Amino acid sequence: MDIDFKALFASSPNPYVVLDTSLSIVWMNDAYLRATMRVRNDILARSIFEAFPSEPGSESHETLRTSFERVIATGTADELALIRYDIHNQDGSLETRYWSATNSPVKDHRGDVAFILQHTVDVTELQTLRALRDEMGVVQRAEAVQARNRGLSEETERLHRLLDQAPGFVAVLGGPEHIFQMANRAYQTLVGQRDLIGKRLAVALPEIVDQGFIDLLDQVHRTARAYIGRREKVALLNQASGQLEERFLDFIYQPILSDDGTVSGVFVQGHDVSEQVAAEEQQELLINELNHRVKNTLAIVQGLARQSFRNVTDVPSGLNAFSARLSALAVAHNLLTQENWEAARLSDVLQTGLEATVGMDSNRISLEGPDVTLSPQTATSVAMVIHELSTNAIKYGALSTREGVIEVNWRVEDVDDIRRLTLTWKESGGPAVDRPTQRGFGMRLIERGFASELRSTVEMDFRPQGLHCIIDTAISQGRP
Amino acid sequence: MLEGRIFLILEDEPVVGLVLEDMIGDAGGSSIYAERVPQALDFIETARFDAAILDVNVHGHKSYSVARALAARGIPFIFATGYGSTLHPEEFLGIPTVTKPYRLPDIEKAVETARSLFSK
Repeated sequence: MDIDFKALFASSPNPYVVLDTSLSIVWMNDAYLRATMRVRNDILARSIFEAFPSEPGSESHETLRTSFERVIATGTADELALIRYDIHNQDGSLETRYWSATNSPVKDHRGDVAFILQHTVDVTELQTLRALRDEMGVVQRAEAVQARNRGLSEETERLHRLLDQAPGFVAVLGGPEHIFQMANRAYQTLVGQRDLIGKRLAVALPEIVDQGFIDLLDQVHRTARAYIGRREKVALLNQASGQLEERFLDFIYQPILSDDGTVSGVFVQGHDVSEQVAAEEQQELLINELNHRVKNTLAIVQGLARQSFRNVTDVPSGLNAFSARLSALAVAHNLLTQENWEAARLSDVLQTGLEATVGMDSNRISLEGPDVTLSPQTATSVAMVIHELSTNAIKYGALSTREGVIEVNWRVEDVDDIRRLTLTWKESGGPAVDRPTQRGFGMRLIERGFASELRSTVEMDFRPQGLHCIIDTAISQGRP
Repeated sequence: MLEGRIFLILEDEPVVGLVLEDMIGDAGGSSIYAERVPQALDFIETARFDAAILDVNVHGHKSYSVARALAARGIPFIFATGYGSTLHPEEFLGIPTVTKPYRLPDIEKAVETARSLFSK
């Protein structure tokens, strides 16, 4: 079918005009002439800006001109949704007109823009235009409000994110029933990822009902005054184990006031200070333990002083004995400190103790026995006993001569879960010895020395060739 | 004050035990020495003494079982400890506690208090 497009356009009720690339009017239909209040010969072959003059530089002129230029430059259609372009009416006066136009390129066989087809609609007469403009005003205002709200909601969102990520726990409880309106991540973590929002506190966290927190919240509602809790213990149900777990919390219940001054809810904010509380308790325990240890050590020193100066007519020799005993105690403490006061090796205790007491002569003492660790108290006792034994050896025994030697042997046996240590101190090469007539502190300490939870025996055999001492004791090994 | 009296000493630190023995001995008293809780309980059954001095912490065990046995027999006793402030069980409220290192006057005073407590 052959369609006469020219006739089709010419009879179209829609106004059409065709411009060449110099913007001269080359064709228009009757609808266009009606819309622009012109007759064909007045405007045909004239520049569109001659046919419809407008002030160069004015918004109308520039908007229309740049639209044409865009079409020529880009080869694509350009739309002018609304353009005010005033035209002269038949009596020559200027009339305000609003148009809605589309400028479309018409290309030649090379694809270059040859003509511009403008479809334009006079929208001035539309009764809706004024309303439309007003509506646009409303829309613009609405848009402005929307933009402001968007800003506000962004701010709200930002604050929400901030609260959510805050290290402390945060929740908002609304109304006298304390209904969860908000709970941040830290709060969720604290209570074990439970479903909270929209629930009453008493329902969401039933285990706290009898722990006084709801009474406190009621009080905040009643008094409109904040409640500050410090180191308050709360038992929360561990979701995984089903057990109540104690936590310590620093927190504040801040009343949320409405405009009329009544309390509409409570803002809950705080920190889990359980670790801190545990650390403080641990520290207190340590200080207490240290105090105990120091006092105990002072009591031992007191004992050493009493014994060293007791019945002593010769003060310098008493002082020497006292100093030597203190040194033996210090050596044992050094060893234990190295091992965090948990345990000490018997061979180390003997070796260092003997070196401290007998010095160079320690090479005349042989040590032989298995590796065994001792608890702090046993280690201290061994050190003191060895000190007394070697002091006696220097004064009266094997180390009082040039030739004497001491053999120290020990063995360990496990009987019925009890570890027994048997230590033998055998002197030889010294002067002939007799059982001493008086039991001095050294002797008494040796006999009693191996403090043990279970029975220990000390056998002191004063053989003519030298002292033979056998100590048999149960030992607790200490933590290695 | 301590003259002629016999004391049970429960103390796990040998040197400290010797100090107590000597202090009591110097004041004219005498003592029997236990370094473990079961040993002390044995002495309560088998030995005669007028009062007891109990170290609270003996080889990691509390000496309250000994205290209970003494209280049941109406034998006065005092606690001894290296801890600054020891909270004893409620049943031992009012029992005097001496802290280490010891001073004879403190011990004498504590023993007197314990004795008056048990004579009621």
